Amino acid sequence: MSSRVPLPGFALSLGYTLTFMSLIVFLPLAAIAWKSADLSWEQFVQTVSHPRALAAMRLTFSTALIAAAINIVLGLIVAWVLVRYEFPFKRWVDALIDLPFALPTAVAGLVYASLYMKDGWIGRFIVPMGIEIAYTPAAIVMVLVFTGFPFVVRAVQPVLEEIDTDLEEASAILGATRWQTFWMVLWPNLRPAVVTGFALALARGLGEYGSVIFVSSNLPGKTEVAPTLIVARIEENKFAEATALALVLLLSSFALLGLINVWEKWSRRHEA
Amino acid sequence: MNALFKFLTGSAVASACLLALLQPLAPRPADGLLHVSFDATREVLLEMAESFSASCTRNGIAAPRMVHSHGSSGSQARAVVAGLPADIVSLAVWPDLKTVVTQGLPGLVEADWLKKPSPWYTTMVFVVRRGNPKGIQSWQDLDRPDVQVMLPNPKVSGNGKLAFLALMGAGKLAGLSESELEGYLRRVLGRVPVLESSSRAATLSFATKGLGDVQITYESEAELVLREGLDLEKVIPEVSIMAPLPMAPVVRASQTAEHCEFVGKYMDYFVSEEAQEIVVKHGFRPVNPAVIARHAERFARPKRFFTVEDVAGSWDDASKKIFGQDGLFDRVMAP
Amino acid sequence: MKPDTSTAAQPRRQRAAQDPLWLRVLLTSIALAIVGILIFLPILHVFVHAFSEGPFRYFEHLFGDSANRDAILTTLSVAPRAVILNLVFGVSAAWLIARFRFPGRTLLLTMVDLPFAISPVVVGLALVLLYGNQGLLGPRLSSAGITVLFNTPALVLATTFVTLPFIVRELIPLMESVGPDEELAALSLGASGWQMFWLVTLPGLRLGLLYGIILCSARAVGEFGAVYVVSGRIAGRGQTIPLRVEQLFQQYQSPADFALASILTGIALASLFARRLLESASGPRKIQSATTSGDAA
Repeated sequence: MSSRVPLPGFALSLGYTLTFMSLIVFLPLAAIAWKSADLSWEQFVQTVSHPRALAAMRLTFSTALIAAAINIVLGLIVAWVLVRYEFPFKRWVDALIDLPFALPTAVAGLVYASLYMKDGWIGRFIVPMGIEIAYTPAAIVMVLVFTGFPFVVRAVQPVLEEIDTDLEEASAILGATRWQTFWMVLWPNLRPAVVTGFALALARGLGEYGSVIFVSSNLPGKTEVAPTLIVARIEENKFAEATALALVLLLSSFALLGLINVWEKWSRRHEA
Repeated sequence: MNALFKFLTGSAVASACLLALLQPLAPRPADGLLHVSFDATREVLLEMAESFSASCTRNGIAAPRMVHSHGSSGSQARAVVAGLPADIVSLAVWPDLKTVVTQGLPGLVEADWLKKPSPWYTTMVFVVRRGNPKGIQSWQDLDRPDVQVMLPNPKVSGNGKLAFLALMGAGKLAGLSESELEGYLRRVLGRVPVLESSSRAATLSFATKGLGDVQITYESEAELVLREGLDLEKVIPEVSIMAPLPMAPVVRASQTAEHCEFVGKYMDYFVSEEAQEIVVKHGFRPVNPAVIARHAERFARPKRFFTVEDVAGSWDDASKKIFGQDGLFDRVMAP
Repeated sequence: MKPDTSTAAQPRRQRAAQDPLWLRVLLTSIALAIVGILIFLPILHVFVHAFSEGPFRYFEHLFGDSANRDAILTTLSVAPRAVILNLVFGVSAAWLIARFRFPGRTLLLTMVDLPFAISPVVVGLALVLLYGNQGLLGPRLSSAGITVLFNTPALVLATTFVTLPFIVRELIPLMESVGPDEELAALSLGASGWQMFWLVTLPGLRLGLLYGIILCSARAVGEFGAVYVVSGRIAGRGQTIPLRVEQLFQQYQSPADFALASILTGIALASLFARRLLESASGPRKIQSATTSGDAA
């Protein structure tokens, strides 16, 4: 074999790894490929271009994009404060950031569903103000902001910590305002991390199901996201259609991630 | 050669690990009868199971433990087809039983169960907020622009299908033409705040989350929310749909003869006077003549019933033309 | 690693001086408000509602109801199996990927990340298509009397799929950063392959393993989408805690629901705490990025 170092265990670990991956990951995915062959190309196109499917895809992508964009702003502010400022209970706040990674999505959905209800802790203040979040697409954005929140913070934090403050001082001495310094000195350094965090939050948001079913009204064409539609199709016993939708969701999230990666690499090279 | 051997060893170890850890924790005692049923039957089947086991004990038979699974009628049918080890399946609508018969492994449910009479029936009624603030009495009232109607998703829920068919039937009785009917359905469905996946989920959203002004649901769900003491009222319309709730035994390879015997006993017990009183208590409609006679007054309303056949010709037509892909339901829901 | 933290405190105060006080106060309040509303309030909400009827009723909700007891037991049975499976896999795959260069290595690395990119619902669908009675293997298995779907095996398979990357993703960078020198030394001193593995490799991975196990367990306990699709919804038989939470949500059982949710929240908080402890023992960590990890070689 082409191992570079004479360490043992190559064949053994290769055998173990490939077999395990095949049984756990590849075999089920092959079943999806097998099932999607049940549909002719016309049927496939018809299924995924059905108004209900299109509406679900549009909602999935728009809510995930909006949530990821909100997370850029929130994440930058929180990461900035955590790295640059001192305040009481900072360690606790820092530790809490990861909670959305660890908290089961069903719990997140359960809590968010009751927080924004008419008589919920937050709902009782904002509903009289005319802000209805429960069961609107805004509720979906809310839970996606929650589930994707740590990605941007945790991607930006280490980069921010390593940035040399000399640059900022030099910029300030040269007469730049704080805002100009941020935009022209810090932002180019932070951008790759922000893009990474954004992409991860986006990918997470595209596939999110557990929390969304609690807070969305699941109305076809209005508040139904793609994963919900897939489950609905499974429950209607329409596996081929569920598979077609799953395939589109899968490929489009791959494509989106790939696109972001390529764009980031291109713009980095472009600037250099 | 040595490398290949090691590769295969790794491969074998991986498979062995997986197999070892996939074993169910402890072999479950095989004494339980699994009754797979639709969502609205949680309470009634629990009481039925207790009373069945009491009746077994009275007759000197060791009573089997009953286990239940609940979900929307459509998804429960799907689960049984996919291999959920059910002993009895009871569904909200006939097409779901047909799904089990036609799509399940051969013999899972014998085809003649599609033609047998059901052991119970249901009808669709309204549940409104206490005091009926919107004054909802009839199917026509649902057409008002200020009335939001709750019903679950007809694609998966039996409650949803029956509610939709009831809307159609009421519209037809009121003399609406085909296009007027579609407009009526489009307006009513267009105001539905949440299309939940099952009857129970819709009840929950209506009762505790305060969504909608009126819920079209099983009479039994209406009884349930009243029993729970929620701020709601039941309104029985003048006319409504009457639909049988199919129930059938499921045949599996892993079943024991004892299992099958108990399934038969349970099915027989279900139409006995004692069992049908439980059916009535929970707001379902009985088939036992003695029980029907005893509760004649209670069943005086709705005054007039129509059946699925009256509305759609047959269940097969309904599944295809109304609830099928791009059927009437899809058309009125299209944005 | 250590001196880094002590010297960082000094310049940090200088940096902070660069922002005017009003801005510092404003941004800090905004950040606290974000974390408060987004994260702290929901946690508080869970516990307040769980204990709304007093601690006695809380435990009655948890352990008095047989279906809830069963859900706790099922989760305790399913999650550790998924973690063990991914642990052994993680060590094997990390050894393979970090220590050897071979054709298809980058592809394998990408495949390891695949479960991150796939919606759990799709994972559930895949298992239904494979093991369902209308599926590829289902009919054959069921005629042999084996039920995978709606049974513990499906829960374990779904959970393992979804949590597959967590441990291996921790181990690969760790192994790469340590390098093979000590292992080579052990070999040249006459140790056998297994001796080297047990005495040199594994001890070096201790912290990464712990960290991965914590991440993996937290996720395995809470998995919902994938197990939702493959579960039989039988109250009291093979329902995990998150599934039971959803079921109780459908049954007006608000306090009981939040009681169960509080267990999950507790586990999540405990995992955060454990990670903090590990980090203070091993120095700060950076986020493992699924998109930029491919170019480690």
